[in-house]
Order: sequence, then structure tokens, then C-alpha cells
Amino acid sequence: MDGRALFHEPIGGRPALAAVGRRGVVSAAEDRNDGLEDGATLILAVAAGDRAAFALLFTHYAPRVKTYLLRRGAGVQRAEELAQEALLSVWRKAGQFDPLRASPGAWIFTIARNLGVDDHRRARPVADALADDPSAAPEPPAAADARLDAAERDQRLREAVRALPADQLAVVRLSFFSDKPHAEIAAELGVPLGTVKSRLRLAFVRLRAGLEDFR
Amino acid sequence: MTTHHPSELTLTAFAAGTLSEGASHVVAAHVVGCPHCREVTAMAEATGGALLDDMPPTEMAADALELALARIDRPAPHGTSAGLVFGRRRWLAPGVWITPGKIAARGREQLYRLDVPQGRRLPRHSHEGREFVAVLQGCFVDESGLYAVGDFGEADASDDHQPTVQGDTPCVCLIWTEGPLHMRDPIGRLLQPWLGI
Ligand SMILES: [Zn+2]
Repeated sequence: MDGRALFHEPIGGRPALAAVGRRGVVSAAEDRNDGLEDGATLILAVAAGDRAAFALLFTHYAPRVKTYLLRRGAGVQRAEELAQEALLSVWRKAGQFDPLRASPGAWIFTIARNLGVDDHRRARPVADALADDPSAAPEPPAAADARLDAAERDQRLREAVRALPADQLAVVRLSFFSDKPHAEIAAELGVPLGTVKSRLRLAFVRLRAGLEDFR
Repeated sequence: MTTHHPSELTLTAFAAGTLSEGASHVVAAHVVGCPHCREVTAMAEATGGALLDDMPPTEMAADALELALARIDRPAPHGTSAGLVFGRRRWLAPGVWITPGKIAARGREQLYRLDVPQGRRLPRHSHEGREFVAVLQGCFVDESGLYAVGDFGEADASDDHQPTVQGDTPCVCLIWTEGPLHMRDPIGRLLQPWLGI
């Protein structure tokens, strides 16, 4: 059984730390994973206070959030602390997670992003401005088959991101991991600003097309 | 009816959390009330999630999970969620007021609320860097069209414009400028040191 296969098992009754012992072994499959198999179920279990589910989420996402924060320019120590804090926020906010609105990865991404932004400037307008809006309140828990659809949607989006042409993916990546103005991104890539804009636009057209049936 | 939205580039940077604080306040002021941009933002956040899922893991400290489990029931660290706080309103000209937003400014950026009475024409100007404008009340018109409540204006360093307030109410905007304004006419240039923008 490899590290990933562990995530296919039901959570209940399994010792939480079984997966943790395997942390050191990062297989190639883990490197390019398809998301945590049942991340949404795990987050819903965490909302009900399931520590074993939290341990699985932590083991999977903390190391990825750490990489994300490192790429955003956090120091190694700070990235470790913020990844910790991000997963603790997952524990505290799990009740707000709505699998129909966001994939587990997208939801954890926004938590990590807000911590990164916050750390950068010690004030956080982005998330709160949106979170305060009443229409952003979570909807009732999704039915199981709706959740399957959501999981397929997430999988499709991941595939669409991977399938982006290299030049478009480069612009998407730089947009997410660098706080340089777009003019500097253009200079870094050695292309005009208009090209950066059109590549990003094309990338979004492709990502949307990848989700067509879900609109 | 909102007709002017932030560019996809700007919305992506907003969703990615890479805009400066001042810029993101102005984008947030628009996005909160704009279903279209909320959808684009959600799409960009979903893309962020896909990038996160594909991220190679960086090993955490050996006791990281143990630490997390030990801290799990501690209350959340407080005081991080602050909305936009404004400073004192300053008089600029008859009926024109500027109210600075308190931000951790990056470089020479500025964020402020500008109240301009109906019919008033602002001095022709251009900017060093970008300018974002969210219309909170009333409307104005410039070379690129009519901007009403909810609209978002995005100008580059190259754009030279002269907004005029239209309609029969004052216009209130939340404005972010990346760098100083450059007044295009002599009176504006004369006044600029007093304007502080
Ligand atoms: Zn919009």
C-alpha cells in the first residue's frame, strides 16, 4: 500500500497517526497528486470534531501549503509556522466549508493566501470584505451525489490547469506566486504587457471550457 | 447596471492575494457587489486550489502534527480581521473632500475616498503607475466612458484623463494610485502640493 492508497480508506476506526509515519516517504505519485481523494469528506468530519480526519488533512496539505508560502517569499521558519496556522484554521473553520462552492484545495488555498497576505501586511481586507457579505454564507451541506459532481469538477479543473500550454501556465503561476506588477512579470518573461494579459485571458478561456458541463 | 469591471489580470492578482493592500480594498469594494467578478474571482481561487494540489510537498518539522494536535483547541489568534479604516477628512476645494484610508503603503501608493460635488470637473491628470477607482455613490464621466455606482475604473500610467461628475448627486469614489498624479494643466500643477495626491 502506498501513501496515497491510505486516503481511500474510510476514516473511522483507523489510527490517525498511521499515515503520519509515512510522511518521510514521498512517492512520485504524491508529487503530482490528484488532490486528497476524499478531502471534502475529511473536512466535513473535521467540522464534527474528528481528530483522525484532521491528522490526514494535515499530513496531506501542510507540506503543500508550506511550499506555497515559500514560493510567496516566506522564510523557511515562517513558512513552517504559517502552514501550521493554516491547518489550525482549517480545524477552526471547517464548519464554514461548503463542498459545492469550493474544492478542498481551493478552500485551503484561500486560508493559506489570507495568512500569507496577513503576514505580509498585518491587515487583511480581501477575505473579510468577501466573508462579511451575507450571500457568501455557507449553504446547507451537499448531498452525496452533488458532492461527487463537485469532486469531478475539481478533477477537471486540475487537469485543465495541467493541460495549459507552457506559456499560459507560466503567466498563471507568476500571477499566483509573485506580487510583482504585471509589467514586471512581462519583463521577466521577456514579452510585452499585452502578451501577458492575452495569455492569462486565453488560460481562463481554456479553464472555463474544461468545466463547461458544470456551468 | 455595472459596465466597467476590473481586468482579468487584476482579478487574478486579487484572488491570488498579490495585490497591495490599497489596491485590494478598491477591488474588494467592487467585487462584493458584482456577481460577474465574484464568479471570476471564485474561478481564480479554484485555479489556486488546483495549483496547491499540484504543489510538491515540503517536509514539515518531525513534530509538526503533534504540535498542531496540541494546539488544536486553543482560541484563534485575534485581531487580524480589520476592515478599511479611514483617517480624518481633509478639505480640498469647495465641496471636494479627501479622506485617506489607513494602509500599510507599498512604495508611494495611496488609498483615499474622494467626495466631489455634482457638475465638478477635476484637473486633467495622468499617473505614475496604475489607478483603480470604485464608484461608491453618484457617477462621473471621462474619456473612457460613464462610471456609475458599482463601476470599477482601471487606468494605466499611459492614460491621461479628466473626470467630470455627472447627475444630481455628489460622486464618492474609493481610489488607489500606485504613484503620484501628474497634473496636465497649470492650475492643477499649482494646486498639487496642496492636494497631497
Ligand atoms: Zn465586476
